[in-house]
Amino acid sequence: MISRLSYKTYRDEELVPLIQKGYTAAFDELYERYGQKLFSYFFRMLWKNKELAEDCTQDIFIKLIKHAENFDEGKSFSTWIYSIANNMCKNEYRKKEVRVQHQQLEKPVLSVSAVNPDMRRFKEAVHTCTNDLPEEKKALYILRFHENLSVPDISNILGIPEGTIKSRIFYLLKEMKEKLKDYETLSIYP
Amino acid sequence: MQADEIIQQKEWFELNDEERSSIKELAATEQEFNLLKKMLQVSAEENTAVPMVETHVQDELRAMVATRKRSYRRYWYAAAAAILLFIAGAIFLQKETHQDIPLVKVDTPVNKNLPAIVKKDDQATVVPDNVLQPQKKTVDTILIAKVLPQQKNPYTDRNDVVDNLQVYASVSKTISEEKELLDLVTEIY
Repeated sequence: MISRLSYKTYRDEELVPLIQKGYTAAFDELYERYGQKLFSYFFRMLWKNKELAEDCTQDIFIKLIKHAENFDEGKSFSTWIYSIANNMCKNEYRKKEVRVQHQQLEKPVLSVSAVNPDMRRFKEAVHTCTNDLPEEKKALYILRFHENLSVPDISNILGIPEGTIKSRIFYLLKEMKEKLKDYETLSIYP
Repeated sequence: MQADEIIQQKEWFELNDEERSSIKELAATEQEFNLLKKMLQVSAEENTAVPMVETHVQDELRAMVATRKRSYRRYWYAAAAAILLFIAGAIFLQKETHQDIPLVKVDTPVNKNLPAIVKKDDQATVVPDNVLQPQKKTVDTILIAKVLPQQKNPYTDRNDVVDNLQVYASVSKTISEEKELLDLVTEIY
């Protein structure tokens, strides 16, 4: 029996065919790398709904197990899995029922902890601003500033040219700055 | 470097002229620059505020992967069984079609359908081999013909039989007409 430690040095792209063949240790390794990341992505994208994020995380791995042969080993696994995740989020947004749920979950459920009251208010404001962003802008913001993905990777995931991604990031930051303008003078800086 | 990368990685006083001009539209003053910097820091820190995914998700998925392994093995076993059956079948069929090859020369007609003795008027007439088999093959040729599998042509075989029967008929007729020869043969015997 091969332990998960044996697959530590494997690239993501090398683990996928092993999962297709049923190697649980290879699956554990890939899940360790992407399970929480994808859950976080779904959680932020899908209105901080934990159950929905969990379901989506499970679904995306089921897709991976069942359709691993669709993965092109020459391409980046990270880009591939995030593009599937992004499409799943789009589907969730399209669902009417979820739209209703969205209205109910508009209030941020994330607890913000900070000693400084100004800092606490600022964090809440940032959280509300990102949560209220429309779907595409939110995806861009999360991929860039939460997942720290590069512009070419985001371009592949969202299927948008790199130049457009760069300009969208620029205008997104500008928009956020305008929304948070009131916090400029608060004592939130070290 | 992108505008957001400059904001994340550098401080206001570290910026050179080129960098300042590239982010001018986004952050013209130090206050704006710091606001954006703090906003990106808060966003990055938000990762820790996300709850952990439940362990049962991984357990269920692992069980699914394990079942895939079993079904994957099943294909291999089926393929191995099919190959073994094929080999066994091939050996069995080969034994069925195999015939012993005679090691001595036998003066049997090359064509099995060819009768060696032609009967006429209730009297058996032995036809000499050299007459009956004008195109007699050597033993080696016969052996090779028997060892090597050859494609049978039913039309050719039928033609051979017809040709041979014509030869028998003409030979029998010639012998019966040659009365002197017949007497001589009778006398000798």
